[in-house]
Amino acid sequence: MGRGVIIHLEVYLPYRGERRWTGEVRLPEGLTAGALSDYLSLAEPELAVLVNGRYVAPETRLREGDEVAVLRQSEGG
Amino acid sequence: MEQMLRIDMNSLTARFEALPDAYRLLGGRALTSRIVAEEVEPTCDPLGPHNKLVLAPGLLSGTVLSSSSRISAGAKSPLTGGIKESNAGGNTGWRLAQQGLRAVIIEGQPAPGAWYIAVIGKAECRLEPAGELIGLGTYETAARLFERYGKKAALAVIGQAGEQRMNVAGISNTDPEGRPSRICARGGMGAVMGSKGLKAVVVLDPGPNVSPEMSDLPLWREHSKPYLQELRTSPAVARYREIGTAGTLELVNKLGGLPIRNFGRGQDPATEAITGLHMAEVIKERGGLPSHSCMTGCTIQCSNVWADPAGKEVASSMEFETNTLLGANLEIYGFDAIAQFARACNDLGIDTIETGGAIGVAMQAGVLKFGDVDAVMDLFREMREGGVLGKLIGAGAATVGRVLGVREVASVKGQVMAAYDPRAIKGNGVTYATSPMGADHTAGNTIGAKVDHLDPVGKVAISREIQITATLLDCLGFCNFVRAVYGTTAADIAELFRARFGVTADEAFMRRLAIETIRTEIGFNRRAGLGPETDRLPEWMRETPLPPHNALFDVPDEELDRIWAEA
Repeated sequence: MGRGVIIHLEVYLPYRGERRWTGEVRLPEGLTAGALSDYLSLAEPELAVLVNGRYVAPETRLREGDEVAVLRQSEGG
Repeated sequence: MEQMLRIDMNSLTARFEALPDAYRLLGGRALTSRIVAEEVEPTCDPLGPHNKLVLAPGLLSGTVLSSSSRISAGAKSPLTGGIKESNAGGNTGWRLAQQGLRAVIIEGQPAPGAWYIAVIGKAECRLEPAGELIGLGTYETAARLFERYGKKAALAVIGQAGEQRMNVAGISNTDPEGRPSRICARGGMGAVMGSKGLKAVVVLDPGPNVSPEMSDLPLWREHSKPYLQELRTSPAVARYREIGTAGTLELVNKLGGLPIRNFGRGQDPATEAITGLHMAEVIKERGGLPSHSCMTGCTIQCSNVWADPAGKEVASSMEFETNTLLGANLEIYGFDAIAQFARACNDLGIDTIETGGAIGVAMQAGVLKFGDVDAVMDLFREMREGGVLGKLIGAGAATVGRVLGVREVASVKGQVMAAYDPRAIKGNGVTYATSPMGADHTAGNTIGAKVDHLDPVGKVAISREIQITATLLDCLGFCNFVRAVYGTTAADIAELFRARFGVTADEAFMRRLAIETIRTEIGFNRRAGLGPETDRLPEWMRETPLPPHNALFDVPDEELDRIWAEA
């Protein structure tokens, strides 16, 4: 593994002891959007992972400086 | 024998009719739209004597099967000029189905100034003078009716907005605790009810353990269980029990599609103050209800009850669309203010989406300032009292834009969009444009699709399939959130249909039911003068970029025009 990539992460569910967590995270190089939830040990299924404000294909590799948000999938009624 | 009830407000008579064979396998939206299409002249004045208001529970309504007893209200809409079906939770649909009624058709008009209450029981319906209820809000109206008819009755009432025939007026249905807060909100169905001189429909309690006729009760019981189990265990449903629909705000904000400052931008860090996560925390701290069933038996429990700092109930329910259109869209970032607005809207009996959209347009015109909570409360008072500005807001966002010279009105067929800006959530733009209902997210909400919502490619197909499923659920009487488990429970739902009607309803049958309903509605709209040129988003949304993505709505018109040809 190289030095990895640093992303800006927002987690809109309990993470690291907080109800909502924001910060910089160093990830292994080549980690994909689809693998992020497992890497962060987020147990909830069907989470929405947005990269720079949009859904991306799960195989998309996260890159240095990406802004990533992890949220619960939801819709209005 | 299942029946329809026809109430003639001209002669002040009511009669029960056998349900025609052609209607036997129609319910909810399918039945309201079919009756409106067959009995209402499409070019008629929607607030005149020739329009008809149809109330219909869903095909599978009338038992405590979770999330299955929504009530559909249908008519020609005074807001869109086309056909409308608006549905809601609460207990009205459940009680009507228990009384063996598949539809209530309200027609004609009484003498000017005359107001009535329709009281519906087993094989009887009487019209009583509304008397002292006129001029009251929905909460006081409901309280007095419960006192008179018992707390187990279900009510559908209008507030002062419906009495004034405002386009934003809905029909307010009572929830299991009696709150008149489950509103058939969209499209001015409350104005149509007001135009009939009808303040309230009271559906009496038929007594314990009454259900609609079943073809095969054991089969119904057998297939209720796996359906219920899936609703209880599905992660896609469980999240609504934690923070309701309000958690959608953070998702749509991050996608850059949240209506902020009259649809002026799609994202703002200030919205952090009105996220679903924050809302759930405050509700718990104050002793409100973070989850709540809006209809008897519902296990989804997406509703909630907001309380003030002293723990006193203010409003139910704080929904994503309400928090956005009456919050972010007005640059008001405080739940206590939004809850006051929601309470005022519920009491007036109005659509929070259309009202928030209309106020946003008025703010853009400079009539009041963005962020001014007191000025918004003054507007609600003006609506209650019938002031000119109140009546203007009550006419809806499109009229406000025309009167005040604002081009940036986010509406289709005169109905304002919900809390998803179609420049960033393009599938919802397709739904807004092509649904016969006008800009209505519940007609086909694509936000749950894990796709790039900024890319126009493929969004017509996604919208079409979701519109078909949403329409089917509207016909069956199910809540929209059942869509989250429809893929895994379709076979059980088909068996429930067979248990109820003795008819096999395979996938092709269900799909045909939905598509034929949509085609019936489009046919009415065309005859009403709403041609394909009205199946469009406003021109400015193709020209004015939406920050932060600077997105435009760019799904080609030709693709919009083909959506139903390819169904």
